[in-house]
Amino acid sequence: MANVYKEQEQLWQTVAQKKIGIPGLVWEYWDQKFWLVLKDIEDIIVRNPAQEISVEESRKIGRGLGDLTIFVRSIKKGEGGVRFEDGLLYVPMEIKELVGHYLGNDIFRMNLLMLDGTDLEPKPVSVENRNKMKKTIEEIRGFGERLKNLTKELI
Amino acid sequence: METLRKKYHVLGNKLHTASLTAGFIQEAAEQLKNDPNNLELLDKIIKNASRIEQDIRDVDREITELKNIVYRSIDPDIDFEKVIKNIKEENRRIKIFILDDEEIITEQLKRKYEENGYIVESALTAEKGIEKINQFEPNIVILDLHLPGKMSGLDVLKYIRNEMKWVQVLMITREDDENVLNKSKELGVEAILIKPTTLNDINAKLSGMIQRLKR
Repeated sequence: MANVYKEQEQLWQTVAQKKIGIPGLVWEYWDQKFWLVLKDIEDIIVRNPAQEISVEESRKIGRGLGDLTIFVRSIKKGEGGVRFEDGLLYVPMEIKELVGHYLGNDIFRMNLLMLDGTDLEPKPVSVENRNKMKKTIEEIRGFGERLKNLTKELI
Repeated sequence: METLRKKYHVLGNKLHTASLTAGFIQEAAEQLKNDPNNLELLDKIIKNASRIEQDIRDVDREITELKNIVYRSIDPDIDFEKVIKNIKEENRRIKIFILDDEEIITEQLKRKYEENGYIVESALTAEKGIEKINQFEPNIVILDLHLPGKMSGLDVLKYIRNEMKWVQVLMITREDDENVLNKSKELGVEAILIKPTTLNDINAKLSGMIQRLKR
């Protein structure tokens, strides 16, 4: 997980104090575009814990990481809106900042951990990096759960 | 020759598909302006954008293979290991310093750039970073804006601009606050990347900086 700074803890506090909610549709969007993709990556990571990640698996993970990158960029960008079936839904600035602080960094880290497998001359990714990927995914889940718990009562 | 033709064919097809996809995205984006609630269309745009990214990676790989075939066809005696060794030797003149509070990030970047022959040092805090930068005298600093402790990446950037004007700085940040980015630009940062980013993005920025060094 990205190192936690004072301002990040302040962001969590602001979300709690201001009772900032995240609309259910935003979570649905996250489920489709983020959590399901992350789950696919996790499935590959946990499959053979004692083995290197093959080049073929690395390519699949690389594609997933590409999708996650697009998702985080789309949440961070713009004037606060994400388009859904029911129109433009507002994503509060504090949420965007949290996403930027945590997920932006974590996905960058995963991109680097998978470098050997996604290179122009790819080779299997080490077991050590597989374990670090697993840990990062668990931490991202922790972030998601914390965010959901904090905002679910306020929707 | 047959392999070369096949490669050209694959490359041509990939580029054609990518240009069609780009055309689709452009049209769909226009359509979305008139139909902002069309979630299905938005999904298609995102999926296609992701496909283009993959196509670009594939094209990149094809071009490298194509280059190898072409080089070999020009001079079958080319010793690629020697060429790579020379490039690495050349890179050994360039010193890169990585300042990021995440050990995994500094470790992975350091390992990758050392593999390519660069001389690399790193630190996890601003204070340690400044101390090491002074001793190491890098050509390029890859700098994270958010650092623990009393000093931020901006403070490090200020220090570099005051004390070591020749050093080029690539700022990597999770921050896309316009004020912070403008402040970094005012201080003369050479390039900025917003996380999440990729090694390809970093390499693209670094390559411009390295060209400047070689001039």
